[in-house]
Amino acid sequence: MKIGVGTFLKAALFSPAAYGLVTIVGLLVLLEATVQANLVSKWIVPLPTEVGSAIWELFVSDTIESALASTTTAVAVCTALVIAFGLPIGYLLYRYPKYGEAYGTLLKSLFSVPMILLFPVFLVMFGRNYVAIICCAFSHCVLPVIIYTHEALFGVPAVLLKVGKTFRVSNRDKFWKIMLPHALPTIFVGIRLAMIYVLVYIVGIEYMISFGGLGHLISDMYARFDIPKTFAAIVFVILLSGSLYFVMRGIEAWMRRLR
Amino acid sequence: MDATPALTESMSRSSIRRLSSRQILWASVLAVWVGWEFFAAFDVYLKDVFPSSFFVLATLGSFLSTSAFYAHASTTMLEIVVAFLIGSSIGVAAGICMGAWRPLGQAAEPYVSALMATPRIIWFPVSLMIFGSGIGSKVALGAMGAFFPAVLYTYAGMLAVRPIYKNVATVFQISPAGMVTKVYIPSILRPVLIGSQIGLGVCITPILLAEMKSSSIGLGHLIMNYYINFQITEMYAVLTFVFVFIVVINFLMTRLIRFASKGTVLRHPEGHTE
Repeated sequence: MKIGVGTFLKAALFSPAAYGLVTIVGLLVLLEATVQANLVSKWIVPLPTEVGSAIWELFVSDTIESALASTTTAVAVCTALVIAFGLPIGYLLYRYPKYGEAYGTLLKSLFSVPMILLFPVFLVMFGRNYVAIICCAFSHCVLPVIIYTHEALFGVPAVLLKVGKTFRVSNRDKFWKIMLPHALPTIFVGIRLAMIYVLVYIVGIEYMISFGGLGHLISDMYARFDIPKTFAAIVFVILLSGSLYFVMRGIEAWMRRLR
Repeated sequence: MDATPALTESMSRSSIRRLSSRQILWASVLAVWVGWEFFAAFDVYLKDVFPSSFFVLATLGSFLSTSAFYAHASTTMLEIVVAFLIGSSIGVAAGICMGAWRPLGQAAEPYVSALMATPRIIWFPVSLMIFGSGIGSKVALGAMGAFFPAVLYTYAGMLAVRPIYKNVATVFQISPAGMVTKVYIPSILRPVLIGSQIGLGVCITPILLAEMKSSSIGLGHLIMNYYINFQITEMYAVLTFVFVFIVVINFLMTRLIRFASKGTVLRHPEGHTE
């Protein structure tokens, strides 16, 4: 069935998400009016228009670009490490079920522990640098990838494996042609969770120790009491994490449709 | 002559194979603990970074016998309880509204989910500006942490209320109050409690981080203070207390969910459940 551009645009414009966006814009206009009328102090909540011009100033001075580059590089490195270690460990736990059973519960319990509180320990071990930040983020964010990879491979229906056995497929083909396509969407849930946590950890620790990219920018602007720029940096973090969330959610939905 | 090492190796392999998963787990925990103690005893890597676990426990014991520690702990507990109550109650109310009025839910859900994925601690400057550097700013940050899981799980619970229950209630002409108490609350109780459990976990972390960043009291302040003075054993002692507290809270919440879920499972006359 072909859908015209007009129909698509009409559907997008009248979608619930579009109504949500209109509401947000309306709330910003209301906030602007409230602050202009001095009902809320400008020293607590800046005018949304001031925040907009602060975003532009940060862009012009290259501040935001370098901060964004530092944070996204750290996020990319940590995510790559998390995937590189998490997927094989998850597979090994599936391959050796006794170990999977032994460590599965332990890993799930560890996942509920906020490892971010251990960041001072990592600072003592590695110093105040990105190695400490990435190691701290890695220690927690690798867990969802391991847990979901293990569960995804464990959840492949026995009937599919039996059909493969009937056709005498090799172990390699069984993994690549039967198990992986079925497990991929669930594995991706783990990767999505890990990426979100990586961003939370990296920006969070940057803010806590005033070092690096966007987190440091928020801390720095607040220390200078430059309220519009503090809000501008916060808006950037929200935009970054929001875009990451929507992109990953889109990929996940696409993968589920493929299956 | 070469048979002895091969035999020993095969025997050790078969004895490993005979281990149950529980034994493997305990053996691994024991190995990690022994490794830690080895590092502590011989200063293998960075002196004082790996203090003996016995020293850490002894330090924690000495903390627990001082009133100053309880002053810090009670401040943090107070912040957690107030933040959790405020955040989760607003979250549950918002989730019910979103579920009851579907267009509102559809419009708000993507933005609420995206906001949940942002690091809560970045809101701390805003919280400081509005509520000052006292416990108010930490409570606001914690409440924000508890709010998001509560709203999303309650909304999901509202969507999952089966139409057949509503139809049956309508046929029996049950009042709106009865509809709430007999259909909606039993149906959403489990997701609400699960959302609250996650919310509690999420609300503790930003509170402690905020205390680490800017506070003169609280467990987070203690951790940061010991880190700055390089009192690593004391820092581990406070961290141990915090982690044990989180584990106990999680355990109690899981028990509560199990207990509450017993009443919500609907039993058919044939015996199977749904």
